[in-house]
Order: sequence, then structure tokens, then C-alpha cells
Amino acid sequence: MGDRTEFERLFLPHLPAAYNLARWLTRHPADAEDMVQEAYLRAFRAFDRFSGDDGKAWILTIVRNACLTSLKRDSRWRNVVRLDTVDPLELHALVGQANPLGDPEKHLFAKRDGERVRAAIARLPEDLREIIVLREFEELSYAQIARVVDVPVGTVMSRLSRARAHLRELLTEKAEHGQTHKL
Amino acid sequence: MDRRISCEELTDLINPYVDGELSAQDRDAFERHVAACANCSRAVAETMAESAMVRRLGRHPTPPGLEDRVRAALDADAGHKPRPRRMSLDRRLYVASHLAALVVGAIAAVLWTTGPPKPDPIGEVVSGHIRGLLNEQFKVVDSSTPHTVRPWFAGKVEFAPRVPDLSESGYPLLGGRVDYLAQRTVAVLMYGRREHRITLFVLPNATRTHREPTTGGERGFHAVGWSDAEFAYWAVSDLNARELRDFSDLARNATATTARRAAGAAPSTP
Repeated sequence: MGDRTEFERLFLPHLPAAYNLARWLTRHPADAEDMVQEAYLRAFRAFDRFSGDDGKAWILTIVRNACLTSLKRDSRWRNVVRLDTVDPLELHALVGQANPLGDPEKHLFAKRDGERVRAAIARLPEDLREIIVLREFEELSYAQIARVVDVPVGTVMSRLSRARAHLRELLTEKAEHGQTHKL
Repeated sequence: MDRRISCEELTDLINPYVDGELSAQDRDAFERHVAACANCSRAVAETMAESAMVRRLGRHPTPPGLEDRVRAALDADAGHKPRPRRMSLDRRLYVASHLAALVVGAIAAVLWTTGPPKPDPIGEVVSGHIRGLLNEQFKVVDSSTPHTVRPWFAGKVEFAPRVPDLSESGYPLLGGRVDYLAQRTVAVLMYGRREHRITLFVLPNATRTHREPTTGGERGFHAVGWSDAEFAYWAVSDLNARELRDFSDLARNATATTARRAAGAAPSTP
């Protein structure tokens, strides 16, 4: 079982990264867990093909592929959001409404701000969302992102630029509805 | 050999710059241009602030049972054992570097938790400073008098920050706001110096230890941090390091004086 031990030692530390990516791609907590489990199984079976040079990019590639295959297969996920389990803060974003919990006097600025940003990312198209997640949360280099997403580095750059521009639009659009406090 | 870049070229380099993907030479040319061009420098600050905002969200927390679930799935899959692999030299080097990274990580974690105001303080305060510059609406109390600013914080933060009046030394108070740093709500004071802005973060000092000023910088901003028995302070600005240090010394003296007075006198401050 040496391989099993080695596999766990190399890849279990990347579990938070794997879950975060799956969570952003599926937009659903339970589905994200399923995808991570599935991806780790696939990775373990393919462990002899792991070159050993970038475990994080390798496992994230597999997580991403598992999510995308599943999203494609199960097309109800594409546009349908299951209301029972979705995070309410993402839900209002998905239906394009103002945050029902966003009472500025009761919530901290930071929290309100965070919700707004999270909601805006959730609204990005999948191909831009994954780039933002890999860059900002996982801090992958352009070359690593290119490897995970399987596109040239130039494409990573142009997508990242579109992703940030799009995100900025979504954020300013929301900010205009927000209030300004002055004493 | 000074390479010059145009505003148009620069636009395409903003993302790679913010992401640390430029060569040293391009980075120099980029920074020279930005230092002299207000429009481009605003665009760069916007991208940095946006990136910082996203980063501050952090990952979705991993569900506590997930690791066990994955292990169980691997146990159940024992039938599909992968072909045995021998550990190559590459691999041994990889493992060694992995271990080295763990050690470095552990040391960093120790420094992190014992350092002054906490988590990568300079990165965090610089981002906070940029956020303030970009979002004028963050300036929630618009006043130049400490007497107005100080009471405004009551109920917004769990402590009463000291608000030094440094206008006579050429650092007028511009206003205050609250922000979120090191997992807590902190008081933020904004001062001016010519056309520059200085952000002073005030947070309760959990360690209660007195610390001499430490300085640092990131992304073209300077930062000075110190703490007394009650509060930790961070001053951040694009002002030159010398003047920021001057500001910090003044602020430090002023807050120390206030502290002494508060300790000695009856609790009569409003």
C-alpha cells in the first residue's frame, strides 16, 4: 500500500483547493463533494501516469474534468438551480436580484462586500469563472492554469482579462444599487 | 537601456503585472510608465483592488467529513490498485522539495502568528489602503475634526480608537471608515499630505505587547506598523518612506500621549 500512502500524502493536502474549484464549478455543495470524491478516485487509478512535477495542477485538472463531464451529462445543472440546497446568497445573484439580507445597518461592510463579490463571480460564465478561481483563490501561474484548462497561455491571458472586465461590470452594476453613507 | 511603453501597450500588461507574470525588464518599464501616468496608475490600482477583493473571500471551506469520504472511496476501490511504481530520482527530489516547502510553511506560520498585527499584514493593509482610494463611498464620516470622527466609531467597532490630530504638522484628518482586516472589523482613519492619502488602520492589540515600528512596502506603497499595549497601528501610503515614517512617529507620539492622559485622568472623554 505504499502507493496509497504516497498518493494520500501528495494529494490530500490539495483537498481544500479541489473542493473550492468543484464548488465554484458545480455551484452546489453536495455536488462539489461528489465531484471531489470522483476526481480523487480517477486520480488514484491514474496515479502511475502522474509525472510527479505539479501535484496541485494535476489534481485540479482531474477535478475540473470530472465537473465538466458531469455538468455536460446532467444538463439540468446548466441552467436550473435547485432551490432547496443552493446558498441563498448565490441564489439571489443567480436570479439577478438585490441581496435580501443586505441591510446595511445590520451587516458589516466587509460581509456585505464579500457577498456582493461572491455573487458576481457566481454569475460569470463557466469558462471565465474557472480562470478567476484558479488565479485568485489557488494562485496558479498562467502556465499552470493553461495546463489545468488545457489551452495555450495566450488564451489564459485573454480569458483572464475578459473575466476581470466582466466581473468589474457586475460589481459596479451592483454598487450603483448600493447605498452610500455620509454623516 | 530604458524601454518605453505606450498607454495602449500598458493596458495589455496590467493583468500580467498584477499577477506577477512580467519579466523584470517589462516590469521596470511598466512601473516607470505608471509612475508618470495618472490614468494608467488608476487602471492598475483598479485591477489590483478588484483582485484583492476577490482574494479576500477565500476558498469555500472544505466540509469536515470530506477527507474521510475520499479515504473511504479509495478503500472501496482497493480492487483497482494502480501498477506499482518505483520512486525515481526526480520523484525523490520532488518529495524532498515538498518536505522543504512544509518546513518553510511551518516557519512562516509561526512568524505569521507571532508577528505584529497579523496575517501577511503588509499585503492586507496595502489592499485595504487601495480599497479606500478606489471607493470614495467607503469614507463614511467626512470630517476633519477628531471630535466628530472618534464618536462615530462607537457601535461600529468594539473599541474606541484614538484619533490623533496632526493637522498642525501638515497631515490633516480627512475622515474615517471601517474595514475588515485580520478577521475583524477595524477602524480606519484617513489623512492627507499634499495630494497623497495616508490610511491609518487601528485594531485592538491581541498580544498586548509593545512593538517598535516595522516598515515594509508592496506594489509601490509604503507601510509602517507598530503597537502599544492597547492597539496595533498600520500606516499605509504612496507617500515617500521618509515622510510616512515622520507621520507614523507623530501619530505614535500623539496616541501615546492620549493613552497616558486617559490612564491618568478621570474618564471624562466624550
